[in-house]
Amino acid sequence: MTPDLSDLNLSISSWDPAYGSAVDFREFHESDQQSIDDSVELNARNWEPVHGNIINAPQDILFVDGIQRIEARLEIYPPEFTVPQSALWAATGAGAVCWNRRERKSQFLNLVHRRVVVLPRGIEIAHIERLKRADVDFEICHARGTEFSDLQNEVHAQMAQLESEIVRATADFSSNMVIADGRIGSKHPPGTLGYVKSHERRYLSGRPAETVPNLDIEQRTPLFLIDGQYPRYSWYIRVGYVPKGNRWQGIARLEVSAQVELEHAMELADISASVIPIAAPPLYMDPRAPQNLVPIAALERELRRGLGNPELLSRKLKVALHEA
Amino acid sequence: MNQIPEALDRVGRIVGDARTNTREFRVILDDTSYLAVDDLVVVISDIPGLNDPLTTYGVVTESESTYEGVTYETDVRRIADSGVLPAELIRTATVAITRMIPEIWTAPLAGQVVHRATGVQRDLALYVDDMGRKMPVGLAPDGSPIFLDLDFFDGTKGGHMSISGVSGVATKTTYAFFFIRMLTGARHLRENVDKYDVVGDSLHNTRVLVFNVKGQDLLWLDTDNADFTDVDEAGWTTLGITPTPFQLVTRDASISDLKPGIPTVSFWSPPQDGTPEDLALPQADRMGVSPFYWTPREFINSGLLSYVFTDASDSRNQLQFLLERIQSQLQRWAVDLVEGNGAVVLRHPNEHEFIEGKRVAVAPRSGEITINSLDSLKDGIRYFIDPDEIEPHPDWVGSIERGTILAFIRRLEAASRTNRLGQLVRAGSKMSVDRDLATVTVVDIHSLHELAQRFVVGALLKETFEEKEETGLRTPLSVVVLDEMNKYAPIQGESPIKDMLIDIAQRGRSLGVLLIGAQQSASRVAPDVLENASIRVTGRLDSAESERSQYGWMLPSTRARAKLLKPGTMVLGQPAVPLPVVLKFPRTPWATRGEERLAPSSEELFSGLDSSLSEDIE
Repeated sequence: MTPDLSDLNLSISSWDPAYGSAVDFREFHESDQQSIDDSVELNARNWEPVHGNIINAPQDILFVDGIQRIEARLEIYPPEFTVPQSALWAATGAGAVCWNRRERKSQFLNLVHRRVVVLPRGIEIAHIERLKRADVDFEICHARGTEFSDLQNEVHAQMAQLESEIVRATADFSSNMVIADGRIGSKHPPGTLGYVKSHERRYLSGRPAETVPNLDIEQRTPLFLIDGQYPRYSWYIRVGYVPKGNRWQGIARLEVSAQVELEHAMELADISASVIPIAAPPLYMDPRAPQNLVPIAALERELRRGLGNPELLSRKLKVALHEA
Repeated sequence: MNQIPEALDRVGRIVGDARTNTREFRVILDDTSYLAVDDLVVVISDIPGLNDPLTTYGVVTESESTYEGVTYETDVRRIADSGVLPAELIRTATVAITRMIPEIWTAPLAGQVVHRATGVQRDLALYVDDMGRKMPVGLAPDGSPIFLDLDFFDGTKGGHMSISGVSGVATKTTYAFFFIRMLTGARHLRENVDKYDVVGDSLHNTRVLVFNVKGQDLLWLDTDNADFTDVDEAGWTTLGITPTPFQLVTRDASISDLKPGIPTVSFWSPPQDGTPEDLALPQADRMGVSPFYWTPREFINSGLLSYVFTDASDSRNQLQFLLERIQSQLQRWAVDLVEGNGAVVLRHPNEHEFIEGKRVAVAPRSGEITINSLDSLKDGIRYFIDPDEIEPHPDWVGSIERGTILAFIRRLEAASRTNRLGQLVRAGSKMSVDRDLATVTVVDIHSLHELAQRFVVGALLKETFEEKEETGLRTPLSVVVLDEMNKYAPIQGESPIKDMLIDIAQRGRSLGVLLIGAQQSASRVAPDVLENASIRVTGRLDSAESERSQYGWMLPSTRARAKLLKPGTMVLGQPAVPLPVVLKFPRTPWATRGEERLAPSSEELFSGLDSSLSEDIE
């Protein structure tokens, strides 16, 4: 029964699977070549807070989000290889929360989980045959390159894929409004709002930049256009106040594809400014409060729960690979 | 037995986030189902290694609800007010396991489907199939009968019943009478008379002795209850009894007037006053009460003197010693008087004449004290133990100190006053309580002095017990209902009544003398009496009381609930079922208080008047 480790050509890295996952996924599709047009709605010199408007708000507000978790780093090292090759065993999940404002009730929709093994480009599937013993369903895909970051990017792409599938499955822009967590891209149907919690990048300067911290609840900035690989309208809203914090705290940024009419984008912006603060959590509830919205946090929690116990999975994997 | 034959109602599944064990498990309820406390459930698990599936039965002890996905208490606002937080409302129930079939104590499996136990499954959950002789003693929340194994009441395997509960709502006595009604009339309910005949033919001869100690509450057993409703009637019908009040029987009534199948009741009271020909009873507004008293002859023969000294402080050794001595001397010395109606004189045994083994009645000599009351009995005794100017008679006092003798006389003197025991002992035609007259014999002692109450209880208990001791037969059963057991058999102190109650508790089972004792707090009753009661019943309990070890037979959840029980709801513990069962019993068709009496309807009152009026008009 003693496993002959030298015979194994597939093993689990003893490293923590989270190691090296700190790459900022949010940035990886972003092209650096962007130009900002801050006078699409209001001339930049006349920028001032715009009041939100809830009148045209649809009954259902959908929040869509996805999560990912690296379960294990696999090392593929058959005799014919000169150096071991890494692969990632990862789990992704995505789903939606439908907030029915009339009935004042939220429920989860379309929760989907998918396990994937990401192989470096050029590595054959046969090398991970033994994984099937683990009795856990998974899909196999190849990364664009062979670097570790390529593997990570592929995991993220898988998640983004899942997320956009959810948006497409649930979005019905005539009766609901879809707010996806994070930036939007070509995979999202036009009309999907992207909700960005953090402000790593500075888009505005001058008077427009001064307008942002002066926003009150239910106010937004005028729209500005981010023109680049995927042109989109963007605006800032205030979701809450952080006592003793600076006035940029409690600000979130939204974006929508520039494929929608400017008037429609303005209407969506008005609705978002009024509706989103209702879903903002109190400060004690979430370390990322108030920007991390309650339905999204709940969705992430639910999705993560659905991924199962990571230790249990890791053990199943070890048993599959290491036991004779 | 291990298959679920009928289509049972699925209510949920055993939860998966907590361990099940052989004591309890929790159920997550389906969206369309509910479980209430006391509901019965059944679960079937396929245990690896066991050939047959394991059927687990249980009773719901708690019902719970929460939002799943809630981290903070204020999350409820985000769920229920604004609705931004998705959460699932879940309802669960905790189930205490009552039984496993086969009897292999293995926990039911997490995730198994839980069914509501109805029909046969319900009976299995409550061990009804195990009961030798089942008798309905109440209704479950769903309206079906709850059974008692009579083997554990009538002495076959166990005996006696103990009822506890706070006073004020008359629940204890009411339940005792409900139980007696079941005991005396449930016969036709049994599908198979031979197998399920509860007390056999002797049932009809079962005799119940009960003392009315509060108001005139028990003097309305033959009167319709004004509060009796159709719902109550339906309950009685389920239990197999046609609800009617008891039938009143008096000493003079003819048996032929009685309707068959309805138990009878007779009422008794010591006379308050009056001559032997015209006794006045304290129950002025109550007809049909028969007077009773003891003649000096009966008093002496039955050795009732000890029941005059029932106070705990009377149990000092010297006094008891003297008492026993006097008691035996009275029996030796007492001679009936000719035409004396039970009056006696005390004369030296050497002077007694016998014809065919019987003492010949005599005429009183001059100087002899005629004993025709307790007071004259005291004088008669005093003549021998503390005479004026001469020495006490050595046969009577022995070497007992004078202080003890004086204490004895003082006590006897106090007891023989009219407002104490005075009216209970008198010469006259025989007027004793005839316990064979009716099924239920109610002896009203509520207006008596406490000393007299104890005397009557002690004397009648002794009579009942000795009668059974003589016959040595268990049947027909003799049931004694005694409220305020803590007064008659207190946890501390000695008294002849307590001794007798302990004796009845220990030996009465085999003699067919069964005690239904009621008390506010079981913790104040002598353990010997309490522990011999196989059947335990409690109504609402005082919160401090419910925590005491005397209620250890109840589950913690039942104890907590016992503080909130309403009148008409009781907790039943019986050896045949290893956990307490909460039951309800319907309102009785007889009035349990004067206020409940059904007044004659106005129509009846004025019917004669109406016709005379109409005649006038014509």
